[in-house]
Amino acid sequence: MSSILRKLPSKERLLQVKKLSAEIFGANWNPEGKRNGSKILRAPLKGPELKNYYGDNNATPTFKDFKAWFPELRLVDPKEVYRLKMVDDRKKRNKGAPKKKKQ
Amino acid sequence: MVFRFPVKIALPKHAYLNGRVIKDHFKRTQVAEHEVTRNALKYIARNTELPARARVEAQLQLTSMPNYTRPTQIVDRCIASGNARSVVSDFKLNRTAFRNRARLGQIPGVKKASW
Repeated sequence: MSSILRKLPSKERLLQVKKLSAEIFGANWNPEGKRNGSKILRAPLKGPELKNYYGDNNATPTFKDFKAWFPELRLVDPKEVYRLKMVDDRKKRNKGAPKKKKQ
Repeated sequence: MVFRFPVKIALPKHAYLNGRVIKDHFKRTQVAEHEVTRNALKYIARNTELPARARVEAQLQLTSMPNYTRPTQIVDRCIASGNARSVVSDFKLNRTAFRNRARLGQIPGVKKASW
């Protein structure tokens, strides 16, 4: 009496199916597991993400931009004023940056 | 003044800037620019089905590229202080910058644990 279960397809036949499926879905067909470097080409590029680590310059304008766009408003950045005041104070106490070497 | 780096780049506007941050930013722009070239060379060098001569040549070309085109040269730095140590990568902040902001409630969804 024969079994109701059909016999499994042969190994070659299964391989053929896998190959066809790889062709259809654009996958890499490499049954022997050879090192063909395709994983390097397959990986997404990391460059754009790496480049934008310190922020996108065009995302938002800065205070400096506004100053350049509207010079008639005479905008003053309090942080910059404070910094310049501190630099001046340090200079008075002879703690400023050293003078440039003369050529 | 002479620009310090071999290629002219735009400086980041929205991050803390010091020499090291600028250096890292320069490397990032260069890595992004040369990524495709490097990938192609790497593919040739790693493909065992290609002739050995081509593979060695590709490897030599890879090694002759400047250091600033290598992705391993990039270090994540704090965008608020420029520090490279103990940077919480999810927030791009150094531990102290992260702590101060978290305590002031400036980082959404982060609060001090207590149970």
